[in-house]
Amino acid sequence: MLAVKDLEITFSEKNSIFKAVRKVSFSVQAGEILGIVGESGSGKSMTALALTGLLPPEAKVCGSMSFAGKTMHFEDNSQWQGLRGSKIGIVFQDPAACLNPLKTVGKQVAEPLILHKGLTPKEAEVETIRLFSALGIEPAVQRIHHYPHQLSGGQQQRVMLAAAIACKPMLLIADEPTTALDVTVQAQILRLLHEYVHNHSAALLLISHDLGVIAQLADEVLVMCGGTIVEKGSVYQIMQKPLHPYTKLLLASLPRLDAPLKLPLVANEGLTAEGGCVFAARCPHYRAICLEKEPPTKLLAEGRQTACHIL
Amino acid sequence: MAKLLKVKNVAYYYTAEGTRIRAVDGVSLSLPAGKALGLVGESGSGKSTLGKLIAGLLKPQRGCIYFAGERIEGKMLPSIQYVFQNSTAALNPRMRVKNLIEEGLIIQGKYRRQQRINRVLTALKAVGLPETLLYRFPHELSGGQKQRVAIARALIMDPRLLILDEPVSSLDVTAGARLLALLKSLRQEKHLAYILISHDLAVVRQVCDYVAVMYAGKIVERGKVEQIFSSPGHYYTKMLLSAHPSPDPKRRCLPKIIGEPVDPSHIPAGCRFHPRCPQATFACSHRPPAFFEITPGHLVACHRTQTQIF
Ligand SMILES: Nc1ncnc2c1ncn2[C@@H]1O[C@H](COP(=O)(O)OP(=O)(O)OP(=O)(O)O)[C@@H](O)[C@H]1O
Ligand SMILES: Nc1ncnc2c1ncn2[C@@H]1O[C@H](COP(=O)(O)OP(=O)(O)OP(=O)(O)O)[C@@H](O)[C@H]1O
Ligand code: SF4
Ligand SMILES: [Mg+2]
Ligand SMILES: [Mg+2]
Repeated sequence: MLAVKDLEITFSEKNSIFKAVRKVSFSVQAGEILGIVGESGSGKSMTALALTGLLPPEAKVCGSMSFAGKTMHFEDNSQWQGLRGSKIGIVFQDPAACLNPLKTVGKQVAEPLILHKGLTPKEAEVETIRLFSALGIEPAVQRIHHYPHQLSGGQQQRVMLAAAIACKPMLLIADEPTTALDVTVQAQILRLLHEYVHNHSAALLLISHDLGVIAQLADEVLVMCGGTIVEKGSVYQIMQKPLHPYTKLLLASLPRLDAPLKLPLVANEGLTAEGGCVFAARCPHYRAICLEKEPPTKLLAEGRQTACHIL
Repeated sequence: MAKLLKVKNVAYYYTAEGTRIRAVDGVSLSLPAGKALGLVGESGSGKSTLGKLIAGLLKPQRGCIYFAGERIEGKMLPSIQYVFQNSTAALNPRMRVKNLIEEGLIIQGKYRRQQRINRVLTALKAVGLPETLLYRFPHELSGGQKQRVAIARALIMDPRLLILDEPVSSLDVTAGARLLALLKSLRQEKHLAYILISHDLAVVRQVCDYVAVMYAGKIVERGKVEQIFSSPGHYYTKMLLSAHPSPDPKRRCLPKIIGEPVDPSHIPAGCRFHPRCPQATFACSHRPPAFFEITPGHLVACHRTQTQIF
């Protein structure tokens, strides 16, 4: 349903070029949840923003994506207008920053319905009330008249979700949708995301730095580091038999309820690997070649892929 | 065992826009020297307020706090240090690392310049930062490095109790894990007692000996780490544990969570958790439950647990 090819995002700095995302390709099927994990700065959000045509103006982007039978080039921003909000829904980390504080939450959900689906304001309000109760924003009939500050963080996030799914998009992109929330509220939101994908055969791109969240929801997982995909596989492959040293580090860093942390000691700090593997400076297994040459992406059995010299 | 810290029935109420917010409402706990207590609970349950009461940054409106046998309500002692939630944002951006770390000593005025520098170097080493960072400004440090500077600022005062408010929640996964490893080793070396405040049960599990679970200004369950994690007594603790996303895709479970977090200006009567509790009975909505010791050292404030035992 969605296939992204050779997505590259660069920023020009004073006298150098910074590659935030380097030649990333992936695809998602209908009804599938694709998880993207990686540390801060690995390029997860930039990837999501590119798919929705929302990159900052100073970003230079190339590559293409085919979505719902159409091929689009990232360079051409005009193609996204009709898609965002109708065929592609977006949920961001910080609902407070994305909701308009001066408009009732009901209006903010009803607007895309009027704009993209051509509903009358009355119809849109009825649909908004239905969405609010489906997402547990109760009492829905009163909640639609509230302003964002009158809702808790978890309720605001559900309003964002309601706005994102109002037009029944085929593709939903959720960038750290639960990072600012308590675990109980997080579980509610994850459940709602899962139900939406399941009931509408939609695709979901779930971005998180928390491998626990990814393990609970995703079917396929991309692991990003330094703007590249260093490993890709099914959620079982990634969580149970990680291959890439970076994936192993991420897994070892996750505090667990059932076992103490076992951190591998890494101290190659100070190494520079410009032009080499993005993880070489922190990799416990690096060799000379890792500092010089970018590891090529290797395709393995069962649709798995990694980019590492020693594998 | 002699307790280093004893908190007895403390309460603290904020007043905001005419409404009274019972942020901490009758909390008791104790901690032996050199041990670590994890304080968990959802956003707004009163964790930071309790931490600030113990650190003397706030003065309780009710109850007493004893430290090494002395009453300390509203007093700030050098031997109790508090590392703020978002401490990395609170570091003065115009001060260099060295000055940030020695600030407390200068205010105290007990040490000469050279002694202070030696102590700064020791603190820096304790938190695993290289000396090359001494003259940097906060904006030239990573999140993990800033958090270490904040901890070094506290350590330099030679505390016996260190209160860490959400030390890893603002850090990246890998930096957070490294900080947790550091906290573990520091505790062994310095025989420090910790109170670690976190909304993440897994973080507490990594570092602490004891856990206290807060809900709407009250502690609802406390005990040893193993007791709480292997046989949680309170339904809220069970809810927290079940909602924690396991990294094992074979153990998928998106539990149905009932209800919403408590609105602090409308705290329910009886057991504060009853509107969200799957097992609430008539008693739960009418009488606040008292603590009941289900196994030695494991206390639960829940009517149901109590009746099940008998
Ligand atoms: N406007 C900008 N100008 C220059 N560089 C930028 C800009 N916006 C982002 N970057 C850089 O692009 C890289 C990728 O950022 P991105 O936001 O995609 O990371 P992320 O994986 O989403 O991280 P996080 O987990 O912190 O959200 C980062 O190194 C970031 O510093
Ligand atoms: N200065 C203040 N004035 C008024 N109300 C406050 C103040 N500080 C905290 N509160 C309220 O007191 C309650 C407890 O707050 P506290 O910061 O102790 O919670 P917490 O458990 O630390 O939450 P979090 O996990 O979000 O940090 C909350 O309802 C909060 O809104
Ligand atoms: S390519 Fe080299 S540096 Fe990169 S992950 Fe593999 S072994 Fe480590
Ligand atoms: Mg991001
Ligand atoms: Mg707090």
